[in-house]
Amino acid sequence: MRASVAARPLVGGPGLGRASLVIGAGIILVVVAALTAIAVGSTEVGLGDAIGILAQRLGIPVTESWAPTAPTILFEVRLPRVLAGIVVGAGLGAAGVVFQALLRNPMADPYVIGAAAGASLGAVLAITAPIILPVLAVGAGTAWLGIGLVQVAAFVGGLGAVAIVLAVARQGGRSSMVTLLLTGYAVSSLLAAGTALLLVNSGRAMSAVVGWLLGSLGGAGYPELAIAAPLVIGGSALLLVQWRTLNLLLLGDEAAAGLGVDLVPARRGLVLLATIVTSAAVALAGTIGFVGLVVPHLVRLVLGPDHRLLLPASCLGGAALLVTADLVARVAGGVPVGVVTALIGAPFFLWLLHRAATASTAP
Amino acid sequence: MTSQPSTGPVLALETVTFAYRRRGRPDREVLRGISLAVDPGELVVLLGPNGSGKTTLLRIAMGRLTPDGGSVRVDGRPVESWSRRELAQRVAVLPQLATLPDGFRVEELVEMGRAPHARSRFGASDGDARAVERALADAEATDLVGRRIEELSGGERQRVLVAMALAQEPRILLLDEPTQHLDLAHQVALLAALDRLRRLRGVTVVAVLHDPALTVLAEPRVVLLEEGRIVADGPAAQVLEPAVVARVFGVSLPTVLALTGRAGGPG
Repeated sequence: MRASVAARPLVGGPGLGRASLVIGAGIILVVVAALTAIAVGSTEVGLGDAIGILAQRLGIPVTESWAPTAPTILFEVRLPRVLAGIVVGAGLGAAGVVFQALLRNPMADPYVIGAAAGASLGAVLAITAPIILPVLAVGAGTAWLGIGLVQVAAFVGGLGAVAIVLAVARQGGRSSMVTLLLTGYAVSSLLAAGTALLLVNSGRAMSAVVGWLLGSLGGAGYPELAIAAPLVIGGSALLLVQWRTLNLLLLGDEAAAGLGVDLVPARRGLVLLATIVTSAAVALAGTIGFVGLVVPHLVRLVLGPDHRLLLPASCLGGAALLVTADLVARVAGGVPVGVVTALIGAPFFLWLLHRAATASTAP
Repeated sequence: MTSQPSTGPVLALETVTFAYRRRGRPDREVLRGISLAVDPGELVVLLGPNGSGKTTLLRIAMGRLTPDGGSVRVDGRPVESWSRRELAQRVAVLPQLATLPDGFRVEELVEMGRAPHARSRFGASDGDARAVERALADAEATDLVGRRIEELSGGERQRVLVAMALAQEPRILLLDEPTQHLDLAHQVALLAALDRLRRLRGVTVVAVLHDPALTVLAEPRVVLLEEGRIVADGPAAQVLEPAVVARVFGVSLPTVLALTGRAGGPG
């Protein structure tokens, strides 16, 4: 430890070697998880065949050794699901890190200032509208789901809810982060009440509503991915380059301002980006819990709090965790993916917490 | 940054008045016509009882609060004409309630002091590295390198905070009760360090202290505040008259006077 401090220069952050090691390992983790998830399922494709099918689609000549239905299963069923897992996991990981830094609260997650509650209400409205007002069910009620209206309503609902929270929190002058947190909680409760009301009146759409609320990566197709992925990835990239501001915000308002952070616009930008990322992720997959709260903590326990590394690593960690969890959920026969993220993540998290606690109390 | 340091005062307040807002309306006036000019390389100690406006004065000087009346000039220009970042290149602040987030190593935190000078979105330059090493040395924190912040004592944390502020390479260093959590030995060491900084690097230091006894150590210029007004301004031995101290602080402090009478101290 002492020697390594003396050997490497004092500053320069995590060091290029460590950074590329961590990011490289993260990318490998995501790729392995994704390939496994594509290969495994009720119809076994096999890892080699899965890679072969992907290579063929990319124009690389490969001798076909797989069943004729395999490419269809792979491209129509599994790939969009895996891509959704990567996009949603990465987005929730990034947004979780940002909200924890912004609010300086370890219990903060991407849903804390209303994005999830708003998205849920929007989505449930879109699912139940044809049932509550039959006039809206022009033809088949399922058409609503087919054209992705649910996703659009969820995205708009998420943004709208956060806009309301920000506007309410700002009443009466400068909005402190505590006010923002409490306002987010209150508005979320209100919107959740609306969602619950729709849920009990949803009739035959109830299972669709519950399924959405529990979260699932199965609902997204390529059209929805094509809209959500650029929002999540672009938003996360814009958040990544603000690692320095996020680090400074951890020092408290006065110190951050003293170091050149223009607090109000800086926070506004971060909240806006993190909300776009969160709403797009929720629109794609429903309210999947746990990832946005725990992945940042996991990564922080392992790599430390410097956002230069914490943000990209949380993106990759979130993607790998969610793809793996969804694979387990499918293999287990349709268990909600949120249940699996909690089942995998919680014990691991508790173990890391325990390890960190014993390390810091050791003499 | 490349411009010649101006010859006039580096920090100038002109009949500054300020009242905090309460339900949108101005409350009791906290500052009532403060005029204060600080020259480059001065060490100024703001003294005064609780509520006399010391912290508010610092927050005005760093541009965090806008005065209701009067003007503030930093480095020759109105404070509001600098951007936050430009201001942070000139003024470093050690706030009263500074918190250091767990998990960072000392050198990582000190490097955050380079933020206002950062040119790249990605890393630190050689110049940053040199500034960090110098700041660590000046704050006597070099021996803390490699340690995590949660392993440090209160006094060690304070040295890290000072090093962070010095890494900013400011022309003005504003400190709000920097000796608050320090034992006597560390209070003395900190003031000696600030005095050295002023002499060796020409940094202007303005520090809020609550204990008049500490001023004996560095023979600073003392500005005594009472209910938002400056009631005395000058060398410590001259300002801390028995009668003045007794009136402003409401107690007679024989110890202080005995110390100031012996003026000189380790400097």
